Amino acid sequence: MRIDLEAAAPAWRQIADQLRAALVSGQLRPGAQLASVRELALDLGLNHNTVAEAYRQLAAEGFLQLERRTGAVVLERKSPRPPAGEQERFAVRLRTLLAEARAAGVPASALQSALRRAVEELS
Amino acid sequence: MSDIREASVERDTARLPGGALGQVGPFLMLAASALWLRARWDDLPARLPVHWNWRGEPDRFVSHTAAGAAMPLFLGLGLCLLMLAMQLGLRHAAPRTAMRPFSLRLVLAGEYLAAFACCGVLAAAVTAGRLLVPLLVLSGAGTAALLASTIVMARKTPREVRNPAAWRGLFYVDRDDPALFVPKRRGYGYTFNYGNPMAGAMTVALLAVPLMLAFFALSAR
Repeated sequence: MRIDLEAAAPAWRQIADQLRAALVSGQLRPGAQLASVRELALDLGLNHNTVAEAYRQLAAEGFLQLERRTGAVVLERKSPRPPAGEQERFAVRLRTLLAEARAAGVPASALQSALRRAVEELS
Repeated sequence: MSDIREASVERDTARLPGGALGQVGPFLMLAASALWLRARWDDLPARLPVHWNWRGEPDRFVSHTAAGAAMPLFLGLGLCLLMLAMQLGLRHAAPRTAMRPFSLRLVLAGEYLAAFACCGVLAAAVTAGRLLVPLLVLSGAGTAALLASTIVMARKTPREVRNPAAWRGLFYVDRDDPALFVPKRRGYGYTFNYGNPMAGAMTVALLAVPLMLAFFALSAR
């Protein structure tokens, strides 16, 4: 896990986003025990509440089970049926992000290959 | 300045080096020496040498009392407990970096050396200095080996500067960082995170230990 405290996204969101990517891609399998809040906070040099917030978010999404003794355990999670309009909402977000990248000068071909790679990793 | 932090999401399953037997070793050495002292108690002279000049002649003595004779063992016990506490502190309150397992092994080796040296001082005192030369040679070799290991480890270990904004000269102060020990910015080893409330108390305790030992040593003369 690698987080940038100077980035616009708050630290807890960066932790949650990276863990979610690892969970969706299967890098973290059901039953796997994650570092406890205390261990991850210690290693990252962050307040316990920051890491706990990320874990709580993933627990609310059904990815993790949080227990005082065993810490965070990865759950078997079925992919939910997307609510109506969810695909369109993500398409708009993706379009906004792509426009931002194009405006910053990132070539379309680089975006295409990055998108393909990301889809392959997370499928 | 960017502030990138990296960590593993896997559980920290590391244990103290040497296992239970390896950790008990220095205390067993001290206990065996105490039993040896007890077995030879009636044969001891009225005054026991505890310091020798450069010619190897004793120049300081303690009286034949339990506190005086066992002083090197008490000193060894204090040092071993301090180094055990340091290991526990590094294991539970220092971040998982490449330096941590090396440092834990180094502190354990230092604990063995301290126990050996203190038992050796007792043996030298009880045998009227006959074991002094072998003790000095072995302790010197052990110290040199520890120093050499530290230099090798320091060269091998990748340099990491934790939270560059939290350094105030040589001191690290970050109230949000739960670590008690953090890798030094320069050189090899750890320093306290003075943003952690325990750091101030630990510094006072670390300063108090040598002062108490010096007081104990002086009062036993």
